[in-house]
Order: sequence, then C-alpha cells, then structure tokens
Amino acid sequence: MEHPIFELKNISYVYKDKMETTQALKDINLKVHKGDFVALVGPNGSGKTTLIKLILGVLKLQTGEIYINGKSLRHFQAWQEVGYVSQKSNSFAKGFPATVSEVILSGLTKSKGLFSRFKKEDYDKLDEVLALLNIVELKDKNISQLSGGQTQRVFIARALINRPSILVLDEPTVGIDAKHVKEFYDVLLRLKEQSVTILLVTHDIGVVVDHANEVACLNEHLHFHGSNHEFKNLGEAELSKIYGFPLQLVSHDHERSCCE
Amino acid sequence: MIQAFFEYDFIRYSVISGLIAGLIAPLIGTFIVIRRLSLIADALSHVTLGGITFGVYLSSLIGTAINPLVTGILFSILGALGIERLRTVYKHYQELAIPIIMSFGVALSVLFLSLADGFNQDLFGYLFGSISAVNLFDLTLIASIGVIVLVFIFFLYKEMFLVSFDEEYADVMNISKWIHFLFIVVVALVISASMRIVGILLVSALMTLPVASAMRVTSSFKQLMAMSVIFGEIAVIIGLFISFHLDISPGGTIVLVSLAILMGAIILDHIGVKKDGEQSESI
Repeated sequence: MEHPIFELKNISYVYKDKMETTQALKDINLKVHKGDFVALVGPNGSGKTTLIKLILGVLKLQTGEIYINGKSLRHFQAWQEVGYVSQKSNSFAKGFPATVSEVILSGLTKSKGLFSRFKKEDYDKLDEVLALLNIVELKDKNISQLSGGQTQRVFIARALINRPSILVLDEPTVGIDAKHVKEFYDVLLRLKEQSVTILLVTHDIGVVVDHANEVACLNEHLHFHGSNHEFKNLGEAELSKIYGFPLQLVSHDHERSCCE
Repeated sequence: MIQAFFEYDFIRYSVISGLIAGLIAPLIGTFIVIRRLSLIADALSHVTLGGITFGVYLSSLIGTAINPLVTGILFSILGALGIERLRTVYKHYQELAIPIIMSFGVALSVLFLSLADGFNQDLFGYLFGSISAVNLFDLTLIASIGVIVLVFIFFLYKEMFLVSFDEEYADVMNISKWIHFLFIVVVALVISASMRIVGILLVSALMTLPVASAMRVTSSFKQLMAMSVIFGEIAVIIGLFISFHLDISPGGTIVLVSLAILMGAIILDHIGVKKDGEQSESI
C-alpha cells in the first residue's frame, strides 16, 4: 500500500490558561490514504476542531508528529496542497463588498507568494473551479447576496482553486437547508472521484454512513477508526462510550441515524 | 483659486498635499473600514497630536525649530506598535487597545501643550487643517508617504484582501503576521500625511467617509477602492476650494463635502443604482 497522505503519530494536546489545563487530545494515531473520504465524528468538545487546527498548522504541535505527504508538519510548506473550508464560512461574510470571483481568487494568495499579482492562468483556474462547482453564473455577484448553499460552494471553490490533494472541512453544512446539504455532498463525491482526499468534521451521522468510506470517532482519544460498514455495526455500548450518553444507530429508509 | 495655484507656492503645496491625502486616506481607509478598525484611525490621530505638541514643546525648550510633523509621525508609529501589542495582550477584548492609546495621546497632548505655554496658531492648523501651513518639506514628506502607501497596496493587495475578508483562513494559509503590523504602521503614516490638510481631529473622517459612501454604490472590492478614492478626491478639491474662498480651515469643509457625498450615495442606493440593479442589503 502506498504511504498515507497524512499520518498522525501520538498526538496529544493540552489547552493551558492561568486557571486550569484541559486535555483536548490524547495519544491520537491516524493514517489517511489518498482518495479516502474520512468523517471525523464525536460530541462537542471532543477535540475535533483542535485536531483539524493541528493538521493545518494553526495550533503548534505539543506532543507527537504529523506527516503530510510523508513530510513532517514542522517542515511542511506546500499549503496549496491543502484546501480548507471552515464552519464559519456560511455565516460570517455578510456585508463584505466583494464579488464571488474576488473571494475565490483569494485562495491563491499563499501559492502566488508575496509581491505577485494575479495573471491570466489564475483567471483560467478561477473559470475551471467555477465550472466544477456549477457557479459560473455567480461569478460577478456580491458574496453577501448569495444563499447559504451558494456561499458554501464559493468557499469550497476557494479551497479548490489551488487544485489541492487534501480537502479539510470543519462542519461545513451548519445552518444550511437539506436541499443545499445534498448539493454540497454531491460536490464532495465528485471530488472523491477525482482522488481528492477528504477529511470532514461532522455531527451528521447519516452523512457518515452514506458518503464517507472511513469513520474516525474522537473524544479526547481516538475510540474508533474503520470503514463506514464497520461503523454501522458498532454496538450501543461503543457509541455510548464515545458520546458519553446512551446512543444507538437506527436504520430508516436505507439510512441510519443516531438516536438517544 | 486656479490663479493663486500658479501664483503662490503655499497654495500649490496645499493642493498637491490635499490630492495625495485624498488618494491614500480612502485607499487605506477601505481596509480599515472592512476590518472594522475605524476607531483605530481616531486613536492614532490623537497619539499623533501628542507627537506634534511634543515637537512644539521641544522647539520651545531647545530654541531650535523642529518640524512637529516629524515628531507626529514618530509618535504615530509608536502608537501603532502600542495598539498591536495591546491587541495581543487583550486577545478577547481587542477594542480596549483603542481607548487606552487614545487617552494616552490626549494626555500627552495636554501635558506638552501646558509645558509649551499653551495653544498657538500653528497648532490650530494641525487640529483643523490649514491651507497656508504646508511648506516644501511637508510636501516632500507627504509625497514620500504617498509612495510608500501605493507600493504597500500594489504589492500586498491580495494578502490584505484575504486578511480583511477572512483572518482565520489567512492564518491557515500561513499569511505572514508582519503584514498586520505593517498595515498599522502604514495607517499611522497616512494619518500623519493627511493631518496637515484635514487636521488631526478630522483625519479619520477622510479615511472612513468616502469608503462609507462607496459601500452604498459598489459591489466588488476593487470598485469600492476606486470609488472611495474618487469620492475622497472630490471632497478634497471642493473642500479646499470653499476653504480658500471663505478663508476658513479646510478640515471642516472637506469633511462636510464628504458628508454631502455620503447623503447622495445613500439616496442613490435607495433608488436602486447599485450594480446589476440588485437590491443592496444593509451593511
């Protein structure tokens, strides 16, 4: 098997302030391979966002090592390889006077480097990604005039304009209606077909079962990591241990979801 | 005024300085407004006033004329450093940096004014702008600052756009932290460059009012920058013209013209002039 596209080795992380210390992650080991669609699930405060921030280099590693494409995160510079869509994307941009094109092009900022300006090939990449996400008609619209689903697609386009091999999404469908959520996952599945590795933080267990091919369950420790089929077969005891209260997966209309 | 422009050096210096201020203040003001940092301009202008009064005091103390614009720039940059530092110290209450630095600036001004034996006519010009006080040295300094600002925006536009639009994503993309610091220093320089014409107390208006007007009638960020500069220049030209003919400080007239433009922009927005005929939402 080829080497993992990213690998986490013995990751622990503690938040410290003047009053107290909080253990967010402990001894996390995880390997993700090229083209995998991994859903990272767990209750609130389980360390999912902390783990994402560590992978993205926003938080500094305290213990352990992270490797991206075989390279230690401490020396990793090719951030254009990693696309990121945050959980705030669908709500924070209201009122900002920028067009969809301007927002998507801003995704090239790091890869272009300091003191450079956008050129024709950058605008070609813009057209390509607009077409991929079916938002060509939104190109010159103001970002604040879009619906939640449209805005989310714009932020995915921004993450994809560098043609990244890894896409990290932190609860990207919060506040988006069911129709747009479906459109959003259709886009992710198309990207998966193009061998983009996807790491998705979500609370939506239905999505985990339907779309992800791997599931990682986090609650300070990594309690489970396996295929979505193995996840479906998890018993009540294991799920309750992860979520901290009685929980079981219930099937309905070919789907399964979480119930208390 | 056109005849006076060719006849008198000081009018020429004032008009050119005004045009530079009308260009760079709204240009950098676009990023200030978008980043919701409008009050930082006010805080820095008050620190600049502290620097100017220090220059006046120092001149009276050592008996040698020191251009207060130079001490104003120095204090403004130090104030910018102070704001950035305080915003880090009070991470969850970053706006606290503004009243702290602003009160520091006012306190320094009062202190040095008292030590320098009170108010003088020159200081009145610094507070409210002056059409006759700009000399060749001031103009050279203002033009140099103008070049620095244009270079900063030309080369770091895309970084500034990303930092302004989505600071979290800029962090993820590992956009250098020194750009934040450089930005605040450039804001300090713009305040120093603009204060000779509009005055310390109104300088933040030249940075924010044209942008507020442009926001009502534009859809893209580049349009916003362009329209802000156009509104800024219109305000400076008409304001200086009125100021010259009525023999009053230009700060008040420039700001009043800016406010008239703002009213016009709001009215135009309401009757649907916004691009593509789209309904604008409240910003």
